[in-house]
Amino acid sequence: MNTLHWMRAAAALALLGSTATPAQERTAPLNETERAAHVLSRLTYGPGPGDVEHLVEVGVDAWLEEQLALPEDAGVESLLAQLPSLELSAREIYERYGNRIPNGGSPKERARARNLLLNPRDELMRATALRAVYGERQVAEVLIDFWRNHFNVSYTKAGASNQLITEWDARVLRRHGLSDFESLLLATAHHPAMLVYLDNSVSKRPPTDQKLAEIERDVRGETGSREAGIAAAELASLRGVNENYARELLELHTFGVDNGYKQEDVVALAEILTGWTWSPGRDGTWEFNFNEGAHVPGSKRFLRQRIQGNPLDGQEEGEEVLRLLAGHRRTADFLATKLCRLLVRDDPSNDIVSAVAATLRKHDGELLPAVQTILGHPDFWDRSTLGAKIKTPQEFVYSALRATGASVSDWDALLDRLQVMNQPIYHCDDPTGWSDTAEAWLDPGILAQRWQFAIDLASDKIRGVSLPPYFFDELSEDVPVVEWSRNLVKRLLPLGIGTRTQYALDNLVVKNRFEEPQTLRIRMLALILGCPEFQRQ
Amino acid sequence: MSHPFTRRELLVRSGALAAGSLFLAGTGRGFAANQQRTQSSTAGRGKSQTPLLIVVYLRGGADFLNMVIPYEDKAYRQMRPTIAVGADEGAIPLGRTGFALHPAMAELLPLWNAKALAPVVCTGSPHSTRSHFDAQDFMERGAPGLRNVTTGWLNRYLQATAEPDGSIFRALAVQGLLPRSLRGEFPALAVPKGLEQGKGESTLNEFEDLYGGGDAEDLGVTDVVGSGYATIETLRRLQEILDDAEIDRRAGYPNSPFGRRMQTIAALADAECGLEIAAVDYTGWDHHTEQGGVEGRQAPMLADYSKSIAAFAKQLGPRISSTLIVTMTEFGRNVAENGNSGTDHGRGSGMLLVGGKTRGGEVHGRWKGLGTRELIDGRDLPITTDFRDVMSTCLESHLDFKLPRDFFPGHKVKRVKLFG
Repeated sequence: MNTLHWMRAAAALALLGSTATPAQERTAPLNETERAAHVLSRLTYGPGPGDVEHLVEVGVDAWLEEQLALPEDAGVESLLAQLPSLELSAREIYERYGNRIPNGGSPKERARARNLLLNPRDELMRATALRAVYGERQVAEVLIDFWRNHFNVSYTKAGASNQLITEWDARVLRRHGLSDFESLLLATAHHPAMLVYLDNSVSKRPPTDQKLAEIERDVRGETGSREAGIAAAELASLRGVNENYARELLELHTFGVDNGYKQEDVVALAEILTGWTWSPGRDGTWEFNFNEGAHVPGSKRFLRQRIQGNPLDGQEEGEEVLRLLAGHRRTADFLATKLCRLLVRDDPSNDIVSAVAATLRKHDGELLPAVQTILGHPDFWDRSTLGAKIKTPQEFVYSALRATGASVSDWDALLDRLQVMNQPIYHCDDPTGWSDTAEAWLDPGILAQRWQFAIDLASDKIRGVSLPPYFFDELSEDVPVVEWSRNLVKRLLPLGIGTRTQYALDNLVVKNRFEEPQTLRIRMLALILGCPEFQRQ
Repeated sequence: MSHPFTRRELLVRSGALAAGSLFLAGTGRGFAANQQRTQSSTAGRGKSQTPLLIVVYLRGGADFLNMVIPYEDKAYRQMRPTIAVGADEGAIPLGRTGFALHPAMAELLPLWNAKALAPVVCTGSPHSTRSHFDAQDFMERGAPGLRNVTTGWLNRYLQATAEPDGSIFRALAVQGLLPRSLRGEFPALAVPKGLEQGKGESTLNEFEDLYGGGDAEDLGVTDVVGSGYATIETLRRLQEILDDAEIDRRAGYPNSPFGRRMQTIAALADAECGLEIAAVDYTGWDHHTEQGGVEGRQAPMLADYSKSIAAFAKQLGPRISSTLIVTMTEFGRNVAENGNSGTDHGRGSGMLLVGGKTRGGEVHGRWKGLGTRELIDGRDLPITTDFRDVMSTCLESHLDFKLPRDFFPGHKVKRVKLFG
């Protein structure tokens, strides 16, 4: 760089250094660019090249309409077509990919069986990231992921997860994610992925006394031992109700924890849902199946109501209760709180939560009208909401890929990065899903992985990922170096940059002005992706 | 409770900033200087060795009843026809206490014989929740039922005893995310996995300017900056410690995530870097199905757990007497098995203390038997010791901490004779 350029740069630095935000600006309404960047930060996985400008041009309402008019998988159809397992049913997956690694055989054969078996899982993880980064229907992707986290199921459960979750994603979440909550809730409750994940598939009525007596007699007859008969009957009497799903259905899926139900209600709900299972295996259909014989008969008392049930059809009883839960005021309140926590701030005001809850009640729990309510509420547009959310690791990775316009030819290295950042797709052990507040993602130590990612992305060191060839074009040697950082900041931090980051960026330039230009560009980009502002949305 | 320092102040005034500014001034990383300070401050407390408290959390509600087993109780076998572990299955009697260790936990027997293992039976929470997430929150915050308490019990202790020149390694979790017990005002460290040597160092250097001090008030980024700040300083030194650590291969750590985590803590203890509190999670104890007895899903986990603890104790040698390992879980499981060879969420559980000045070789806590009348709701172990009383005793006896009033909000502490 020549001396003249350098002097200009230094002068600009001095100016930048003195920029401070006056108090009145902290309460000023958002300007057009800020509004656009804010909407894109929350309702999409982050702005990509040209997105902010486009939204400014058409306005929020028209942009949202555009979004919703897009067909599913717009922009990624041909890429998804390369992942053949995505649209398959659980049964088809079982038939094509198997469901276990054979005990015998050579290590090579076993490895092949294993790869084949895990193929649907890997394809779904790739597809989920692919849609988040490149899917044009971004608002829908964000909302579907809201449900993915709300109704968490996980490959860590092992068992049949490898066969079931693909169908779960396509036929439960993607099919019902934008429809009314009742259809969605019923779909989740009828899908083996959930019934297996939360153990309802093995929950059944304890045998009757008559049945126990039969067992005792039979075993005594077979063995000639009275003790053996009693022991067998005792064992049989224990086979019974598993409360896991019933509890989470109340605590996590509908009412929220401790929100108007008791242990008796959990037990009653577990009984109501006995028999909700599936039929796996070679001859099975790999579908939901109601097993009348496993169902606890008779009326139950749930939420202080008598659930009469249909003596001829025990499944109807569960469906009646699910409908009751789906339409309940407490469910709307809980969903509203979670949605506001995702889209507005970690501690949303009661005002916005009750407005959203009212919309959810009015529109049968559909998310899109609720999003409109959020967009119409002053809290969303308050300056203090700007950048108030910390990105989760997934949001960080997706937004970095979008902001840089990076292309991905192989997702696996990226999926590994999500693993080391503690948020691998479809691998959340806890039924709660991932934490949606900052607290969980800001422990000292954990930012190191994001910085490493920022450096590796900027220097094209993540396998299968590359920055577009034109990425650094505006940062040519004809342009003063200080302009480089302005260009990058404008593209990558549309919500603005603080003095600390600006200072660090300028310092980088000052210290390394004689370095090879491309090295400096890469380091600037890495610093921006790893800066505090880019961890926020 | 009053907070003598804010999180930000602690970060700024603690070794983190001291080391950071040294680095910026180009005089090295200040590790030796800080280490010296740590040692002199502990010397001031008149102790030869910094006491170390390790909290192991078995997530999912571990079935304590099949760990420290009332194997002579007939009801035990009756209620667990397929998963009972008694003398016939190789349960290891703990003297004449009436209890036995699960055979997969045989590695802990030498600790029992050396009076360094103290189980406490029938511990639990007065709150009746059977939700994992609530029970864990309540327990790790030491505040059953109180949702307005959001700091962890260990963090409150750290905050109450924080010194401006304390070691930044005072408290850490050997996992990517801090457990709730360590969250709060005091900046504890989460050690991320997989930071490669050397590469990690240059990454930290690159972000030094950006996160390394100064005014963080702009753009509301205080939290991120504070977190980044602590990240740089602590990881840098952690790397040095682990680089220097000698791996004790004879100790026999299993090559498992838990084994490796215990090994890392042992390295930090060896380095005498001022480590006082370490937390480790062990996930996957929610055995609704196929829990099994001698075989099944729980047994290999018990073996892994026990081998790791035993290896740790072996590596520490005599220093185990200033190191206390407390193992806990959010709740017990139903006394009766559930028909899937598993157990569902229950209430009363137990805790295991290893090392320190614990009164080992005894089973603590009042045991009322498994009679239906004694069980909560006719199905769960009763609670005769509030878990907060065990925590209090550990803080007071092991860490020499005088509990301020309302340290466990709304709870009047009853001392448990576990030490001395």
